[in-house]
Amino acid sequence: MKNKWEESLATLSVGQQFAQKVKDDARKDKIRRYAPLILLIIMTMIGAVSQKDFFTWGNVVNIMYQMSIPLVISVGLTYVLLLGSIDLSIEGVMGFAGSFVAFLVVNNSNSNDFGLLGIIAVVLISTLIGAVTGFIHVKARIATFIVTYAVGSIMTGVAVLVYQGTPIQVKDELFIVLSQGKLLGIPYITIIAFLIFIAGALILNYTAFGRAVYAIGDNETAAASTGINIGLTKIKVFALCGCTAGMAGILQCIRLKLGQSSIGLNQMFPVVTAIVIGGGSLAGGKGGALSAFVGVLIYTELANWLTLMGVDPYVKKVIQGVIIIVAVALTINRTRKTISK
Amino acid sequence: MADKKKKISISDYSKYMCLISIVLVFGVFSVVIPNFIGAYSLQNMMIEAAPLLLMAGGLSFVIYTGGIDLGAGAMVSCTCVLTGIYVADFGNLIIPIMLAVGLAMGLINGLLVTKLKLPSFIVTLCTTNFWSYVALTLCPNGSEIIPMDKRFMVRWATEKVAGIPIMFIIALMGVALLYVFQQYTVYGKSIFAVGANVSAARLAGVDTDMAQISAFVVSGGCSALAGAFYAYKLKSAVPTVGDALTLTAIASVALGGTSMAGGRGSVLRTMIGVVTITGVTSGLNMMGVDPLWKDIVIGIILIGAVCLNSDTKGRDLIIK
Repeated sequence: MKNKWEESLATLSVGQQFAQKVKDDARKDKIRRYAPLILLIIMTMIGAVSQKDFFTWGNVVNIMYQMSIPLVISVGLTYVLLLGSIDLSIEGVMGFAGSFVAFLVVNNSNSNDFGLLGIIAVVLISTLIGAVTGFIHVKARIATFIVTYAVGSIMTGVAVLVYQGTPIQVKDELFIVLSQGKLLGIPYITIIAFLIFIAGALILNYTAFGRAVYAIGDNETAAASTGINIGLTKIKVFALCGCTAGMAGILQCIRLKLGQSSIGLNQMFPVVTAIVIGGGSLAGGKGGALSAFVGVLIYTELANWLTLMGVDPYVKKVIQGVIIIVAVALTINRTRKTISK
Repeated sequence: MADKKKKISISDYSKYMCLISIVLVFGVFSVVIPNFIGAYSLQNMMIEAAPLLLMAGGLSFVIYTGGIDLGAGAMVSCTCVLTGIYVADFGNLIIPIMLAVGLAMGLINGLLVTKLKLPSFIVTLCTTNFWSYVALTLCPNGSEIIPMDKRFMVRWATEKVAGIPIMFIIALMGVALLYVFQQYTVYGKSIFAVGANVSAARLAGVDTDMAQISAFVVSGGCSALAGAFYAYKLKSAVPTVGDALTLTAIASVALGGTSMAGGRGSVLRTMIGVVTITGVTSGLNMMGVDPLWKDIVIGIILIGAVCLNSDTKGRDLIIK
């Protein structure tokens, strides 16, 4: 490989070298873009061969149901990872949203009955938490992993405080309908999740805000010089991530009909894994809604498969960790002078 | 203009923040709680602070490089479980064994960060899963108590010499060693150089990879000792003991005035941070505040301390 490069240096002019380099980069990019899809097809084929009823409608719906909550989380996290930041507060915000919404609707521990209003309030509060996180990150100039880590711990603490140790059971009619109802055989939760995902994808691809996120992730200095308000965009991204984390927490609460801080536990890490598998880069600028979708689908199939093979959940987490390290190591751009801290 | 003046004074205070906060915390609590500074209470605080001192002291070195070790708590859990289970077989020889285990854990983190050029928070978040897997599979029933007839081996740690628990004395000696490492060795100096400016350090001939690896190795070793201390203190193997400790340790380092961006700080500052945080948690405990508040309070302290320490001067620096 190196020989070839040196050879081309000797024989090509500067212009040709540049064209060669652009072509090489484009090819690399193509491979990066299509590798997850190929992986998905291979995984699906393995699934179809090893499980007889893999392609039945029932199983497809089942996989869609399993991927619905990771999909909602992935919406906001995609934006954050596109910036090159990370949001470790998702688990805490999810736990808080789930606990607080259970506290606000009809339940077994108090006489609140805010119904839909409660759900909207919790989504707004989660968005606000995300915005505050973003604000601290931007204004105090602190790395995101540290701000979000602290905010996550605070929100987990607040979640436990909300229900004072005994998880609240939800008795609300709306929640029961949403958790059990189906439209054309597809559970409402799945439909809601897919709608949230489509909305997130549309915002990312067809609004100035969405394109600004890409621009910042790719090259923050260049984006700033084109007049993008970096700080505001970042705050919006974290607000959006808080919003989707809140929605994911509420959906999880609808599913379990129980409000407790642990509904957020171990939810963030798999989604990071999924986005990275789908071709997202933790350095920012790479990935997108569609690749996040492919990643979540691959991850759900993998998780499904591991469960069927009877793998210990802790081993599953170890496998996730290995996947992230390998995937990040493969996709990281070492041609630039990388500084890893 | 007035605004600008105010900002400068805040960054000046951040140098003395650790001292101000420790005086404030102990002052307020000793007024509110009559026997807050009593012999019994202080001894308890010392035992409480001893493992945390080591853990946060080691973690400081990773933070000097500008990295972070989010797996420190899981390493504490893992070594706490290993100590609790095998102390009956190995006796007190378990402490050097755990130290070796911890150094190896840190080496793995360091190699992954430097050789694969991965961000440290990703690596440590991933390896966390591995350490907690070891801890949880070795202790499937929640926690294992050290058998009664073997207790004599671990009792010495909480005994007192001149009213000071032995564990605390050892932790202080550990901090002293870390201070010597930080101030008077090439590794210590190069760790700071890497944190201040990697490219410049590399140009100046510093082996930056070696510096980063040694920071992670120190952190691993210290976390392992802290884990062994927890097993000695609790007299059992608890696989979840470290879960909340990562936050506490990072908050202690930040409260001491060590910069999260790397390049400046001191183990002694971390020590003051640890004492302050221990003071806060014990004080709240003695006031009868619900322990559920602990994470919230420490999280807020962390954000506040980091905000005060953050470098707002280097405007052109991109922070992600």
